[in-house]
Amino acid sequence: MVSTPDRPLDAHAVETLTAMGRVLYPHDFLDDAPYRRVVDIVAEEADSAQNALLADGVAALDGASDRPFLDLAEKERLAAVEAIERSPFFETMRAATARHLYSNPAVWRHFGYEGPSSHLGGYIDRGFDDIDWISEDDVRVDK
Amino acid sequence: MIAPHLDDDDIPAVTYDLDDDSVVVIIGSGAGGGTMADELTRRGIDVVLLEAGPRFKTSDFVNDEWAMNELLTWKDKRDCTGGSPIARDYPTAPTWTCKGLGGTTLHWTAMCPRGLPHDFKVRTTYGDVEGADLADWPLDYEELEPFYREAESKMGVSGRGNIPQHRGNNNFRVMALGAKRMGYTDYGSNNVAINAVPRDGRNACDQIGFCMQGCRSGAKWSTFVSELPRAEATGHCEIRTRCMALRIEHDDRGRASGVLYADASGNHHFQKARLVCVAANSIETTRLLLNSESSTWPDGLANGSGMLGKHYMRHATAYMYAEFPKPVRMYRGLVVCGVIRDEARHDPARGFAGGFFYGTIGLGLPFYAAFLSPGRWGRDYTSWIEAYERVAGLFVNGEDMAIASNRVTLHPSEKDEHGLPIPRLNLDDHPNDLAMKRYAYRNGVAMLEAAGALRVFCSPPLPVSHNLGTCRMSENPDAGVVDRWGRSHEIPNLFVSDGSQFTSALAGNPTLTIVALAIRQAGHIARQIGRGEL
Repeated sequence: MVSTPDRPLDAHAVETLTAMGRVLYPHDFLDDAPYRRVVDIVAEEADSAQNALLADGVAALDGASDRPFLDLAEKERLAAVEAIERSPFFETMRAATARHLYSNPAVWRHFGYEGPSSHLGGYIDRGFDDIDWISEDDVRVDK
Repeated sequence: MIAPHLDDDDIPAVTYDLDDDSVVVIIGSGAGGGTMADELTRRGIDVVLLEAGPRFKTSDFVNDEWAMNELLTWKDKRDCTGGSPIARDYPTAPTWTCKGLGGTTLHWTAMCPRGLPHDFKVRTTYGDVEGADLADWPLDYEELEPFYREAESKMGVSGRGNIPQHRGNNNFRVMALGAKRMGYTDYGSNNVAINAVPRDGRNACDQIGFCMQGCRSGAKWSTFVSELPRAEATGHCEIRTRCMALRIEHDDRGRASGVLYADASGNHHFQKARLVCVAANSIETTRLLLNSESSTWPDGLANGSGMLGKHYMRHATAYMYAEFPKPVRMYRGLVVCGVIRDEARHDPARGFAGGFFYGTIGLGLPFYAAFLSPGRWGRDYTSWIEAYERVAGLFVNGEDMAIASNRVTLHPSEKDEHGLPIPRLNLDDHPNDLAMKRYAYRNGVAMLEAAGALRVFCSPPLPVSHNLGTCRMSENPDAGVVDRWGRSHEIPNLFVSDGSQFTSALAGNPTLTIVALAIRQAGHIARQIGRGEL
């Protein structure tokens, strides 16, 4: 039993979609939390049609082999996701992960991104030109 | 410290009656419309400016790429057909422009290259390019040059006149190293309408790095922070926001009589006008004129030539992201900090007509992950995202060819919230565009590798921000929509004041040229009004 129009995704669906996110945009140094957050956002924004789409998608992932998606090894999970790559369900989760995974401030330090800067006075005094492996002499125009 | 004139104030200093036919009605508040409002009102001419979007405050601008994309973007549906990758990747959202007071100057990156002399004479210079519909502008660089100088001074373009340049950021340093090793000599700090020092009541740039998300410091020029407050302060300008122009009407003498528009509640009003300036950005300008058809102009207002909507141009654009062994942090500071101008010349020995600019581009992590290659996923892709801190961005902006079938029309069936047909854009790439891009990618990759890149990712084109050409200027009334002043060949009090006037795309970004043309057009209108001719 996955979901109905008036009920949110059940625990199995949430866990499966979280694992799907890790296949779509894998980063071994991230724990499950940011991937889970993507699913939470998708679930929160979902109307009844979307909920049905997600439920059917989870069923398709579970039905890709003889075991549920969560019981598969990484390679098999990848194959299961590739098998449904053309579906609207896939594109929904792919687009949502591409957007919400990287706009999560909790992950930024892993990628070396510092986020908002105007409240800190921008980068004019915080290293906007601090690159230490190219000097100004290196780049002066040869006239 | 934000200058006081940046504060929001919804109470207009002056209001005009709908039946006041002595006003100039300007449709759109961006580079063209905002400049027209400033230039006309400083001469004491009364203006009603209609802006479809809301009036934002600087405090609305947050350093958040997706949130600002939601807030500022013109999101009304546009249909895109044709063979271009834009039609394939973005069939319902082919363009990236703004909806708000200030228009697309709200999110632009402020790069201000002048058109080069040959840019205005492409037919004469390139000859006949097969499959393209090239034409010379009915003006030349020499005539526009004093207006470029004036625009550069008004906008505060760095490196022009005595206006200081910006110091190069990290991303710039990478580009410049590659440029030097390739033997380029015309590269350096970009000419941007962003203050390196406080100037004209605006702060200096803090190198915030969120230029495309609304400028928090006020250092970046926009009509929102500059022309529109000045226009309102004259007491001759009433700005009506959330007002969508629906039709331009004409009288039986063939003169524009006024503009029908819908207010924020959807109620319709008709503002009479002595003169109408359309500056709604090419797609909406075209659509408005098409939707203003009448028995006299069955193919769209001012479209006796049949040229309205045709020759849509948007530049040949390309993006490259290169991974280096050590950190770059391209997000720190000006988004388009550096420029290489060597390739902007016309040199057919390279295998194509026209030229292009290279420039730096910096993206935040969210946009980088989404737009490096829209739709890509998996470990190959995430290895690029994990390289983020060591990635430098480089973009290409070049002249694309005018093709008659690249055009804006009305969708045959789909309507907007006002019951009017939505715009349809048909977009194909010309072989010259493709040849230019192939060269630019190949050369750009070589340049980045010369700077030490480990690998380079060539990104597909993004939705279009430079929308041009659909009301092209021409000498001959059969060959274009407007004359050398941007005035309709057929309707003496109807002007086009945005980039849809462009007869050719020029190699570089259009905003400076749009502003220069608007300063010139306003002077012309004022002289004609003074002589009783308008």
